[in-house]
Amino acid sequence: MIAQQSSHTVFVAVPYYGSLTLPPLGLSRLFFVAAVDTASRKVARIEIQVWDPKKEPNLSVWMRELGFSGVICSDSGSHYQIALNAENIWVLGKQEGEVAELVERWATGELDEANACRCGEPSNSWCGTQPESGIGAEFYRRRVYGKRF
Amino acid sequence: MEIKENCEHLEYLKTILDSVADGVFTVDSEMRITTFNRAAEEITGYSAREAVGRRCHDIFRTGVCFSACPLREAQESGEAVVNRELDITDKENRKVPISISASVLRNAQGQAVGGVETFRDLSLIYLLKREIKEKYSFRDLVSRNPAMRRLFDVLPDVAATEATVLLNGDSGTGKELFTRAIHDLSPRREGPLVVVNCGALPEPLLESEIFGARKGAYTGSVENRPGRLEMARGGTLFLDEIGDLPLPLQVKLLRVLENKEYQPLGAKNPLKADVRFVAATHRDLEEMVAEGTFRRDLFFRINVVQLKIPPLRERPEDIPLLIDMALDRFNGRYGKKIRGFSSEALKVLLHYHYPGNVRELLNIVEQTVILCRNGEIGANQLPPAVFSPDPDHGNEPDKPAPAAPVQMSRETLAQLLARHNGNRSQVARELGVDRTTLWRWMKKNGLADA
Repeated sequence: MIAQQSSHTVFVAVPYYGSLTLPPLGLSRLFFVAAVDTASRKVARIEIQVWDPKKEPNLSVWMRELGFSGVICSDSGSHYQIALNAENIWVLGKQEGEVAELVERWATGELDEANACRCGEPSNSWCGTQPESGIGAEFYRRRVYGKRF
Repeated sequence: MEIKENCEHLEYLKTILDSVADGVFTVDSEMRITTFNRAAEEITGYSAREAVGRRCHDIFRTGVCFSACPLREAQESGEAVVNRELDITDKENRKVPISISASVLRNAQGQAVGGVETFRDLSLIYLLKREIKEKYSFRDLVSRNPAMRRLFDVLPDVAATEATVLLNGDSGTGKELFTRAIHDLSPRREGPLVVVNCGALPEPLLESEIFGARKGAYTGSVENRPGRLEMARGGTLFLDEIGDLPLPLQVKLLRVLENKEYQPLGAKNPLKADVRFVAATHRDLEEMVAEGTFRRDLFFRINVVQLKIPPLRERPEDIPLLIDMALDRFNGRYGKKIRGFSSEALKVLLHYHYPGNVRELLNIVEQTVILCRNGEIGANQLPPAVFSPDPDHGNEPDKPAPAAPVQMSRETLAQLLARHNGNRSQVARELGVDRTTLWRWMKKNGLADA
């Protein structure tokens, strides 16, 4: 389970098999969870969490309750992203690689923004809201909205 | 008018069925297909025109059509069959893994008139899992742990040399698989790989086992008996549990390593040793050297390249991968179609400390596959040992998280709630339990209204 972390820690989920959606079975049940220190922009620890749909049928609610800030996955355009965005969880799709490397690249703003789900952007029909706080929000301020902030 | 309405309803029904992503077909009482939707056409490769009117076993061609047909089972038992996994053969004779559910079709009088089966194509999920497995596989080894991946990276270079390799790892971590990989990648791959377990035999037997014996060397020695060194000529000799090698034999082995010569029991002349050595141990040989139970010179001789294999408890990210691999293996071996473990069971397996390492995990999977009667292995089917807490487990950041506690004191709970300003999600997260469990504990301790 996610161990106690400092207030400067955000949690980023990466599906175990890379893909958030696993057609035709549904959604990934296994996630790597990376605790990222926002001050140092380093991955503090990575562990595995299992989503149990029998206990919490809604993946986005489960992620919110565990305090996830965002999801980095290999698929994109999933309608499920709407539900996650509605819980202030951003989704960065079309990303593949080793978990630690992916999350560190995200933390330092190196992941390709072109593939990111642009939360809150009016032109994007499948996105929900922009994350309000944490590294996720900062990511979008820096990468999606450029230097406006 | 009524006929026209019925026709319209049938047309609606066909449209509905064709818009479903799962394959759906119905059969009459003689198992002849009566409807066949669009997804069924896509999965099987047969058009509805080709399928309707034919017996379903002609179209699906599974291994269970004549022995354990789910539709027949549903018809005979009157109970629906849910999510059973099997392989069908499509029109182009390819195996397609599917998950099926079957039910009885009854008329208005409640009489069984046939059956309906829905099925979903599992090829994509299988493909995804196979891709991940292949990505993280090296020979017969599989891991996505960085330390293990580094070992995989150096293995070809190590194998290419004649250097003696010392594998250090707990029992069950796969030292023999590493040896096999080294041998298969080495220039000696055409030669034999011979294994000797130094801890399995008493000293006199072990000596003749490794070095061989000539006729008359000891009472009852009626013929020349080749040792493992001779049997491994041109190949690799794997000395497993070398830490258990008695001191007198350590001297003899040292001579082989230094001079490439050895003398079988009772032999007058030494023989040339044409082998590459791989040694393995779960013990700390340096500590044994300091204690005087292992020869320093031998240690330096065998410690040319040391590869440390991390125990499974230090690489929980490998557990799902190993489970997938084991399920594939044991499903095949026992003719089962178990699709996996329930989320609850997975949580238990991910938090177990595996004193027996990968071997223990594989045993757990094999045992549960044998005993499982449905498509998914639940937590209640796991052996009791996996529910025991890890006695040595700390909470260091580089180690897997602790197993969830089974109960909490009122005082501790109250302190935790106060620290998190009453936020139950945060408290549950810190404890590693779900919110329902936390609520149950709070209620039991009179804190539910806090």
